[in-house]
Amino acid sequence: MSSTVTAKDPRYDLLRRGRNARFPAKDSDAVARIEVCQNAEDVAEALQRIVGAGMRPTVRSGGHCYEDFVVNNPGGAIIDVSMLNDTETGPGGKGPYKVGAGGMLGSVYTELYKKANVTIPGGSCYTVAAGGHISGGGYGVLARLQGLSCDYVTAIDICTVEANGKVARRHVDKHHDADLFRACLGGQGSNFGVITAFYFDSLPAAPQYMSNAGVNFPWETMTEEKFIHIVQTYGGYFEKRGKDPDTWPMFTFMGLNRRGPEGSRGGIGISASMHGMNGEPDLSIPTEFLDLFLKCGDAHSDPNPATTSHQAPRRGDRQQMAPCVAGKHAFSTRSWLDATTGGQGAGGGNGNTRGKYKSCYMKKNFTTEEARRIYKHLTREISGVPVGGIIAVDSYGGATNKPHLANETAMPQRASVMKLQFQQYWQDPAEDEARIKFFDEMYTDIYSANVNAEHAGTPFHNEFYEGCYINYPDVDMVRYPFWGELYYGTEGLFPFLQGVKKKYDPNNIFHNAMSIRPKA
Amino acid sequence: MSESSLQAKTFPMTRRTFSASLAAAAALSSAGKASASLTRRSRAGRFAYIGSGDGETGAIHVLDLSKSDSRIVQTMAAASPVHLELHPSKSTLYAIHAVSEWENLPRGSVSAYSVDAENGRLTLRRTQPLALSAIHPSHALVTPNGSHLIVAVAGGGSYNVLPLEDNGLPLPVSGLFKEVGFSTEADGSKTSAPSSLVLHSNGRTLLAADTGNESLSTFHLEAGSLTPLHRRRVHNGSGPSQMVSHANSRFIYALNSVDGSVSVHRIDISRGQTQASHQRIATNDANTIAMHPSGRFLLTANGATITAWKIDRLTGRIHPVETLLANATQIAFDGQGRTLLAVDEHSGRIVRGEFSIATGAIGQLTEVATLPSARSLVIL
Repeated sequence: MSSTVTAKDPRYDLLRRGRNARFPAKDSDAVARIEVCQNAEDVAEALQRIVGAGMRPTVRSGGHCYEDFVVNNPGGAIIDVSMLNDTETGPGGKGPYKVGAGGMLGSVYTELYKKANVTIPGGSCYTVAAGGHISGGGYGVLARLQGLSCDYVTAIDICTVEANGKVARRHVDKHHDADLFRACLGGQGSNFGVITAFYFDSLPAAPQYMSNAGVNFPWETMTEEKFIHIVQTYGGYFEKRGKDPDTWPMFTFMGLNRRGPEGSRGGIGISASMHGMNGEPDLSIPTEFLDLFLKCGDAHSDPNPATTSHQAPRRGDRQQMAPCVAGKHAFSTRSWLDATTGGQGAGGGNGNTRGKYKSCYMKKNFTTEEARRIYKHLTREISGVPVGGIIAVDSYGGATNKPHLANETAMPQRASVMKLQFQQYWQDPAEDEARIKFFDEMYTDIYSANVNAEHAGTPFHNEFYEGCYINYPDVDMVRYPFWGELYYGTEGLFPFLQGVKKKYDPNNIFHNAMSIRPKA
Repeated sequence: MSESSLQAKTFPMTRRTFSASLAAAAALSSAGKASASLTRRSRAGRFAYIGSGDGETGAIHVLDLSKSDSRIVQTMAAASPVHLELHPSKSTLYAIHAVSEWENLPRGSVSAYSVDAENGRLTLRRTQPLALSAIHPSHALVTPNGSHLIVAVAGGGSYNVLPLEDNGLPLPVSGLFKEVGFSTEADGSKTSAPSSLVLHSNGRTLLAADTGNESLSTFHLEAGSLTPLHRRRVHNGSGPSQMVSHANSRFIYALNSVDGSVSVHRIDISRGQTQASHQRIATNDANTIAMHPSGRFLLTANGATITAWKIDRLTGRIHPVETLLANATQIAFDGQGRTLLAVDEHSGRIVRGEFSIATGAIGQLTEVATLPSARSLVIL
């Protein structure tokens, strides 16, 4: 039986919150109770009690939801599946593999590596858990090499609620409730029920090593022209050379930090991480990539770059950087497991930080006008909006771009070469309004450059863009009547998800601001 | 008025059903306590409020009934005002907006308007969103002490409770009950669609008609929180869409929109439930129902006629006593039950007539206004 945590319980104050300190926005928005479950039976029983009481259930695995979908639930209940965190293998470390919905990615990587030398091509945050990550698609540092996490799922355990309010425990796969199965591969399981476990018949081998190096451009010497040159060098690589399979073991990250006052840290940082499956990686490809930036001006070699946006920006190490030299980048090489799980902590918020996020899939390089607008906003000084914010430009493409998987999963973005995440963190609630407004203005302006009038303000699907990532939800987008297509594409996936929603959650028990809305 | 001239004034009926009359009855039953302290009150039956239209074309109209030439004195834009409800003090009018999105989120909303006692004019004071998923709300009532507004949400299959400030303005939703449907092999699956509310005279037992799951539900209401007590399936293929309570709170009358019947149920307040119907009577496809304030008559309308049914006070059973050719989708009485207003959503015609408390006869019907898509009605 689940452990029920109410306001009288000393655990309540912690467990009622997620990792984004903005939520719950006020005490009256908080849940009445949290049901901490230890197994699927607990989940089914707790869900039945919640439905019977007429309460709204929300679901939490790792607690990383960027928006208010889980913890803003006045008088409702959170079903906490974080204790369903077992990672199992078949005999002898072979498949099938089972990953509990509450399994934190760092633990999942570690267990799969040690037990079977395999991995899921998951995300970069150690504490993100499988339930939200995989059911929302699941992408990360290995995505170019191995695809998305959801691409490997062969079955799912999920509790749904029937029309009569009875909880049904389902084991879904391509042959059983195949529509629900597909919907949970990118369509967010919490739209339809409570996922308790994922199954994988096979998983890709884990890399042995990862090497990385980077270059950095300080803001002090930045010009608009140089900025455009840098970002177009980055984007141009992935529009062309990055499509070659020999580059797929390389994951790159370009951090476009907002410019701070004179002398402050930050800048434009670019890192390249190369995976070696057997032995140390071949560094010729990341060297070729990093060499491209020498033409952009005073590039400094960064021996310890952030490899993802979820790592804390390096502080005070500018003096360690030396001018880049072609062909000679300061690579550091570590075992893949250490590189993947070490020091990545609670990226995306630790519970004390307020955050706001936006996203964009890019099919082509940055246009000059697009880059110019990004530069304008990164260098803009706004009263009441202290320095902060980053546009994280991750490499994409490679194994993620298998078009047939768009029809087998609920991840329609299969032609993009870069994936952007706009991130902003702060502490003071008084800054909420100004920061969110700034972010919205920046995003709206940038995504009005290459988009027709109807879809202006969004990276709607066109020759440049493939919309947004539902695991980086942004409630600002619901003001657009086409937000469903923005996230789920224009090829019929959204109506399909609406059909699944109606079939498996006919009472719309599971809902949030951006959940699949039943057809009118 | 001759029958031919009456027919010229009548209009076709739609199956649209909302229970403004119930709202009026609820307000009547509760007006005493909450309005006792008010110093400025309009005379009962002086103004009527009529909601019309869908979406952004919606509006609330103020109809001045005080003179022989009744006229619209104010029209205010209001999105899909599916139901209008008066605060017991009569100083605040609530409009339930039957929309699928409010401020881009999937929810309906409710607006509160202050009522000028002298001229009946409205001033928008506050709009509150309903809870997420509470789309297309359908009906509402205010508790007799004026402390809470309870909203039935047909689209979202739920009930929302909003606390009211002393001045009648609604606060954010504080209570929620998410209902479910049913599924049987014979009848398939259906989801909940609460459509009509009645609060028992004890002030603690909420009764709800649910068109979707074909049930009459009872809830215990305490401190703005709803606890389910019982759910009674009316009968297969019923689809209860409106419900009114007898003045003695012993019986409720459910208008079943699917088969057009009225079913009569005893309220077993000690067990917190409604009983199975002891009378089910065809109404020639009525789609609106109203209880006379005296509790002596029930009125139904089916698009072509308005029928007055005499109520047996002991058994609650009904039998028809008067039928008048007239089209109506909404019927409401004034506080004394002597004046009746009927509106027709299809033609927009609004007619006024006198009602005989002695016989149930409806006197001359006079057209007082035309408001296209008129859909909700309450008399102050």
